[in-house]
Amino acid sequence: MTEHAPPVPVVGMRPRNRNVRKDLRLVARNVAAIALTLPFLYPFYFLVITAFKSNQGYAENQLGLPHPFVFTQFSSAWDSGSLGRALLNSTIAAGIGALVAIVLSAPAADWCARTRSKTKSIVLGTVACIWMIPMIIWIIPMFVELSRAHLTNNLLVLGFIYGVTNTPLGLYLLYAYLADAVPGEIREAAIVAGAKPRHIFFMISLPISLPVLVTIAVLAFVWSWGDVLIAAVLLQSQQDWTVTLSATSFVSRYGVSIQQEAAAAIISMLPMVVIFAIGQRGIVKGLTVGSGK
Amino acid sequence: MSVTAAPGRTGGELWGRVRARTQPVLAALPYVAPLIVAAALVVLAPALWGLSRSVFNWQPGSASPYVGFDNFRLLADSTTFRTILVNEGVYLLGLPIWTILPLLISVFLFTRVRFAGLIRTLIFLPAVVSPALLGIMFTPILAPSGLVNTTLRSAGAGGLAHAWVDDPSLVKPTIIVLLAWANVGLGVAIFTAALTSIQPEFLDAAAVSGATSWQRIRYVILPGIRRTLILWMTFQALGVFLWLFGLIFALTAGGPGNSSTSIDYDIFTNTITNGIFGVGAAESVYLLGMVIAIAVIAWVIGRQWSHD
Repeated sequence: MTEHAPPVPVVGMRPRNRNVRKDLRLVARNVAAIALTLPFLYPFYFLVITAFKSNQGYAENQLGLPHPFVFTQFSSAWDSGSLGRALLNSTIAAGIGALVAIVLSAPAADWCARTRSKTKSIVLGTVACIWMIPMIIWIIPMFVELSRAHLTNNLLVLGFIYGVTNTPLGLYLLYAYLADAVPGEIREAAIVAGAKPRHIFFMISLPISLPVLVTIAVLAFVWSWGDVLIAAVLLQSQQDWTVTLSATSFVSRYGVSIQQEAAAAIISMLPMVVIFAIGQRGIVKGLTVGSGK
Repeated sequence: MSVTAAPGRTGGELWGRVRARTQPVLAALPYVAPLIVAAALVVLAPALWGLSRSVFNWQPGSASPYVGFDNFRLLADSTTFRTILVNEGVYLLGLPIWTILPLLISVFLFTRVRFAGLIRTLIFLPAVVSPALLGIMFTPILAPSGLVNTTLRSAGAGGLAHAWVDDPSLVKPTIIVLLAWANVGLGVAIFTAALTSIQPEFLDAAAVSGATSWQRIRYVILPGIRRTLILWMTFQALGVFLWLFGLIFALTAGGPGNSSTSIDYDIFTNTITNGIFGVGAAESVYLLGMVIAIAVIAWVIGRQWSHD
């Protein structure tokens, strides 16, 4: 990224021409690269400007900046879509999901990184099934069982299921990291010094993998926040709906204006976009670990 | 004395051997058991139990008699189910777009572009949005007087304005383009990681020997990222059967008619909305079969490519 054109020779027209042409091509490439981002950003920009427009403001000027700058679209989406309560429900369920994913997967990842036993592949394989079996196949029978036990419409249950759904992510990311970060010699040295596996887990593995744990928590939270399938199956009563459910129901309601739809979309996406904007670097790195091998 | 001592000693040995065998297992249990039990309880057991219900007229809460393969036959004869299979096939046609677009962009950004990192980050933004939130977000954008149509009209191309998701012939192509838009960022991130692993000498050698861009892509880059490419295409193909629910649920509700319904969305409506759980279970069996078929096809193609 620090490439500069070589110094232009003082004499001689032909090399100079060639350099100018090369520079022009470079400029064209960079302009094209920047233009490339526009189609990806424009829809987000449209949502933001539209959500701040009054109904008449949108009718008169659909693509420009909002002229009377209004907040009423947000407040009416918030109230009639009951998005406030839904945001709270989403936070509870996704928060439990992140916590459960880590609590379940961290010890197993530590064991997989430490053991030489062949049973490791059984553990990894069983957990991989969570990913390989289509979600709709297990969530419907799960719903039947849960409703028999009167456990539907329950955010704790929803959060726990979110957590289990995200354990493969936690297990594989952490296992890959620990196998690298805590080499066998360190473990053996600790065992010689009298440490038990649980000491190694709590005092070496967990502290050393804190950045990975944060990545897992963020990804599990964001995944749970964006889910609609498990929530739509398990949550029948409207007061328990997560924000994806409430916003979906709101935007598909008849007679809701485009500005209100944009406001509801922003409210439901904002927490996620903010989290990702903060943690983007680490997350992309974490996601692409090993994919280049 | 020695006679009575002997069984004691072998007993002790046996006990020692049992302990040597079980001790590692017992030591592993607190670490592994919670995860395995949770996975079995939440995913494996319900999946197996649900799939086995496909040969019953499954109605939770009331008698569910055995009906043999009636549910499967019902689906095979149903025009709705056939429409859904056609829909899934049409969605699969997006595969070349979903692969070539991120591939070209990642190759383009990989070679001498300023701010390539920032551009990759900006393109990644849509990948943050889950399918359901994507559907919510694009409801106002694809609406008759939404972003796409007003942009077309203000550019003097009002004739191109359409009811994108309310037109049975346009809704599937619209969804394919939408998914391309959403997935490009992730694809670029993954392909870039793969490109970094190609030996720079190969690219340099190609440049020195005067290879055109196309030759560079065909003979250096594609073989270099073959494995990543196969994995990406497999996930995209599986995604058509696994991850469409959120988008369909939030954007089209399967409509107009059944013209955008995916198989997971149809299982949802059959069971949760209409209460015919047996048919839903049979449909789940079909779904699992299709997912396995795609995985096997991908595996075979992957093996052939690596023998090239």
